[in-house]
Amino acid sequence: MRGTPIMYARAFTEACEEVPAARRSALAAEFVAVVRRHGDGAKLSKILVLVEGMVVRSGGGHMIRLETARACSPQLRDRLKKIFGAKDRITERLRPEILAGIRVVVDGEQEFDGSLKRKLDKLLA
Amino acid sequence: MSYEIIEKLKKEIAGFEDTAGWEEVGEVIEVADGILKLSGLRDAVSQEILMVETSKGEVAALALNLEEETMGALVLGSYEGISSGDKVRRTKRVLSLRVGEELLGRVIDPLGNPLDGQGPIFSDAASGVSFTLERSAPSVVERESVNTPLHTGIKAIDAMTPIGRGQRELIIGDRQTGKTAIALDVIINQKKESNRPVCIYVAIGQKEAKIARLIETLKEQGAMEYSIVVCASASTPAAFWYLAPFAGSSVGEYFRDNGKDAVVIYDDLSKHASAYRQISLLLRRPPGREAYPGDIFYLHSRLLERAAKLSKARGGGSLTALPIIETQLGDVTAYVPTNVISITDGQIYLEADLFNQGVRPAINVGLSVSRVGSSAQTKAMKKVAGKLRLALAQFRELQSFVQFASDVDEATKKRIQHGRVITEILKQVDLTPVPFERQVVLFYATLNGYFDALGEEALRGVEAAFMEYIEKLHEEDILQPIRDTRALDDAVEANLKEVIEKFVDGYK
Repeated sequence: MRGTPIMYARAFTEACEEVPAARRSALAAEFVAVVRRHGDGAKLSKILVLVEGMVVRSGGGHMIRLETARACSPQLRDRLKKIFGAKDRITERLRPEILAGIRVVVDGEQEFDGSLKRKLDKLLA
Repeated sequence: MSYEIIEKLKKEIAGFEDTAGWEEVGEVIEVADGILKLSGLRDAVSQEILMVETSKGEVAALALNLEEETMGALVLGSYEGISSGDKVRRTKRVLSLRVGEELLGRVIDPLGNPLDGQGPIFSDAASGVSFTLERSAPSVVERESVNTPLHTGIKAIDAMTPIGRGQRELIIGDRQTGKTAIALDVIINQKKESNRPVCIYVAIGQKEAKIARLIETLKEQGAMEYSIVVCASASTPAAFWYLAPFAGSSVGEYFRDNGKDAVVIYDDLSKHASAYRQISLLLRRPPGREAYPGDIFYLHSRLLERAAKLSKARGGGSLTALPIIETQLGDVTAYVPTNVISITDGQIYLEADLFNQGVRPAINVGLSVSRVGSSAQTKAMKKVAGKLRLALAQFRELQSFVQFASDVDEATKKRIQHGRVITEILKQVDLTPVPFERQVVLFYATLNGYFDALGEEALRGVEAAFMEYIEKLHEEDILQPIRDTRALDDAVEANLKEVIEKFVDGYK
């Protein structure tokens, strides 16, 4: 049976917890081989994202995605990073359609929308 | 002028207050043929409207499959602009449409949007009531037994398979056997009814041309003013086909719950089942018999259970359901036909062979039944048409027997002639519904053998001539009392006998 990315990601993180740290790189290679053997090689990038999220969350952190219309300056990036915890994994995504401001997405499930687009949409609705 | 606009805008902006907050969101993982697989949105409920932010604007979707890690949703609109990674947010609203008296005479889609180009249906936000598409059926205590007839104007139906208000009567038959024509006649016949029900026609997967023709006919016959058409044509996505009957039912329920009578026609539930099968397979629900999902029976039973005659305490309204099923080569034992036959309170079975023999409507009297409608039949009709089914059955039996025998006795010949007369009288062309009091008079004359002596030529025109005679000369002393009392009392019967005898003598 072909598995879903979430099933693979969960299996891999559970396996990682069971094996000693020294064997983890070998485990990763074996895991990739197993996924390919099942014909699910195309799902590897999705699995990787899910594994990353699981690892961060198991360590008490969150996956934070910052969406801005233009690339953040290094100063702004530092200020934003200070808002979140050290265990959080922060990624950035350029979304020109939000015009200005920022959107913060936590674990892909909660969003804080401080963009100009939202304000304009609300004003013109 | 432009200065004024700028000032207005400035005022609007000055008074605009907005504080951003945390919101529950999800993400599109997969898109396939109108079905979305989403991540996130853990607290979303089944049947909730979700909004997908695409590059081409927002698209609504309906939450259907709530799984452990993902969610399956049905796109309610164009899904071409949706791509993997698009943001999805909750609306915390369950799928519903606005209903009200304003819908009368309008053509809407299953989401309640107008399709007839006559502008918005509701003039302001306060008018109309919001009804969810999925609503539970009235409970046992809220109902009462069917006791009022729904006159269809079709002689064979009103006499042998009568339909009551609040009943569910299936119209079943092969393609091109006159199923929609019966539904159309039912709607048109309501025009002259004293307690006129609201008629809702739900078109599921029908050709746009056919729907346009049907609406045009309703307008020509003056039936559109008390009708509503819910349209999910062949060009709309399967999601609309799936939702259309539920939308039609909700519209009907509005009238039912307000103490009125309504009739809803689902044309047809075979296409509805196919649309649901497509959606279910794309949602990867396990297929069962004929690849339909396991809950196909529940899909139709919960829809048809919403048809009911409410008790007086609940307003006494009713919702009559006339679902249509298209069979393949007369096979009524297929999965969906048997399901719907078992759910409904009877069926009108149309036969392709009868249709090709020129019997219109092509109703197979033997296979057609009405389980509750006879209790709602008027006394007059019960009195005159009680023997009709038996007389026809005897005729059919004798007819098949004499095919192999050349010599038949006089009594048998008479019976066969009587059967031929009945068959001829039951024939009826489209769009000519016959009011019940005229049916009573006609069946009285037919079943008492007054037309038996007529030749084949004379028989063809006898109905029209007789009806004209009665309408012109005896409207007040015969038709009016039957219409008012809904019974055929002894005095009227004696008068009717005399009138028929006089007519037959003159007609010969």
